[in-house]
Amino acid sequence: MALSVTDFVTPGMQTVVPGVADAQATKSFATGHFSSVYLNGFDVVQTQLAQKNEGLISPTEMATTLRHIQERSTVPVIVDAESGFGNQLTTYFVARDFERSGAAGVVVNDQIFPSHTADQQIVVAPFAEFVAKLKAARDSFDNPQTLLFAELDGFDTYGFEGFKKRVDYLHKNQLADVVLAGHVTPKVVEQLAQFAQANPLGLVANAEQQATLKQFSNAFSTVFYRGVVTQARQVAEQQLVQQLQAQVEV
Amino acid sequence: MKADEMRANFKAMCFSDELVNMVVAPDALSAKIAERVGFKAIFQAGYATAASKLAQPDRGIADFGVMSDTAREIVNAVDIPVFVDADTGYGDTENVARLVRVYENMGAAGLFLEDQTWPKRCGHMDGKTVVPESVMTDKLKAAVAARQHDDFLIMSRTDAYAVEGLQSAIERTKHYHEAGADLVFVEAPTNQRDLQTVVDSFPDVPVMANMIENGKTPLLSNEQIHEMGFSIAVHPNVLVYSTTYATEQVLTDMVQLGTTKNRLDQMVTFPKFNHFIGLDDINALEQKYVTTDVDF
Repeated sequence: MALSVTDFVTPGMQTVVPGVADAQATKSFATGHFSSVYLNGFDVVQTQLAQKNEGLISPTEMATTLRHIQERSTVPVIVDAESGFGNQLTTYFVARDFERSGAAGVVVNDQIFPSHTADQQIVVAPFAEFVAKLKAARDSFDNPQTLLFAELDGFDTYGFEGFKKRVDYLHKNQLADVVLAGHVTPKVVEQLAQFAQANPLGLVANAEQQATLKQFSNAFSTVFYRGVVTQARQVAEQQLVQQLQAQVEV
Repeated sequence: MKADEMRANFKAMCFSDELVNMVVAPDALSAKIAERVGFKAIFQAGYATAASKLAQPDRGIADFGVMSDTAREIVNAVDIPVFVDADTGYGDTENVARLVRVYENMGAAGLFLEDQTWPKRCGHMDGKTVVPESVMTDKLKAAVAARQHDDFLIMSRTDAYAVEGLQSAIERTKHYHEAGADLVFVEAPTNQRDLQTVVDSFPDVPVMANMIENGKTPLLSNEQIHEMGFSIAVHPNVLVYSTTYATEQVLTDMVQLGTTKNRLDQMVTFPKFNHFIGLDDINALEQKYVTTDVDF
């Protein structure tokens, strides 16, 4: 199913996109009438590999997961292409494979390859390289309704001025349908939230940051939550472990 | 266990006086044919996998998912060691650590890691670039640290010959060996003298020679390669080119003539193929459990 770009770029009309790792989580959020979900590397790596580094998963493995989701679900799935898994060439084929596997939208971030989850491991790619990847992803799409999300992860590297300059460039040159801010620390979220009141800007938030970012998150035209379903499962699993242990001990 | 046996066999082969002669199998069927005709070890590699699985050139489009799925299919189809091309490791040291576990768990005999930038190119294509030496030595150390069995062999491959020249390729390889590479490979020397210099530089380490038809390295016989001092020979593209040729020939006939009758003498017959592919064994396996006697 197709997504509507206006759902993601209208300030004051925020669309919340929960992160998923598999068909089960997608089904849960569909029951809750979420209009789209975000199949992302962080949740998939945690669920399938019990690790926390999004860069460990390959695009072929992501696409396989996506196709499993598509077997029973019609909820539009936005898929994390990370930093394109290489350069503009790999981005082209990854984005195409994701769209053919059913993605309604694809997110590309501006890190070098491999993309990382931990803030301290992030290295930003030259902007020209990021732009080339976005162009390649767009060119690879068959369906004009497939949305392209550009995720800027390098606020700590290029600062607020660099961030604004990048957003302006991406919008002016129509390089992506939606611009997202990723790896936003509590320190800078207020600044970004003010910017987002006048400019369409989405936020990618990790589960751990949810509480800190919450007071500012309303300003963003969309919020992608990564890691929330994995965190909820871990809590439930721990409870189950304790219950079963208690039964064994009795 | 099969995996233990395959690793031990492969290690013994690599450190013996005999040449380890490997062909790259694009898929499980070709691996089984190679085993049947007498190959003692199989290679699974990028050029052939990109071709057979994606119909793409070897330019980094085949990722870890595609490569490892293919390796698993090949490992499961044969009872001889399978050595794996792990390209650049598809990322950094954390990706390398993951892939070593995956390949070791599936029963591969070992793998090689190369020092190209990602997305890589076939070693005999133009336009290659290499990462700094320390990036590669870190990957090799990560690979060695991640393996669970010492006889899961790690080979270093350098593509620096085309970028930085022979001496740099040899220097890098010495450092790669010091970082833990059990076997070494210098990709694509363009003449026999340089091939000889490479192998002479590593008297105590098994060195691999790569024989690509119409590639950058002169095509030598296994006997010549062995005489020069190489321990391992790999033939990565012969099955890609020969199956492409055969497929093209017979399909052209089918389009133009509407029949395969002129090609029958070039095909394996129905009963022969069924026998080769193991139909009798499968039928016997099924029958074994059909006739299980249960006193209930």
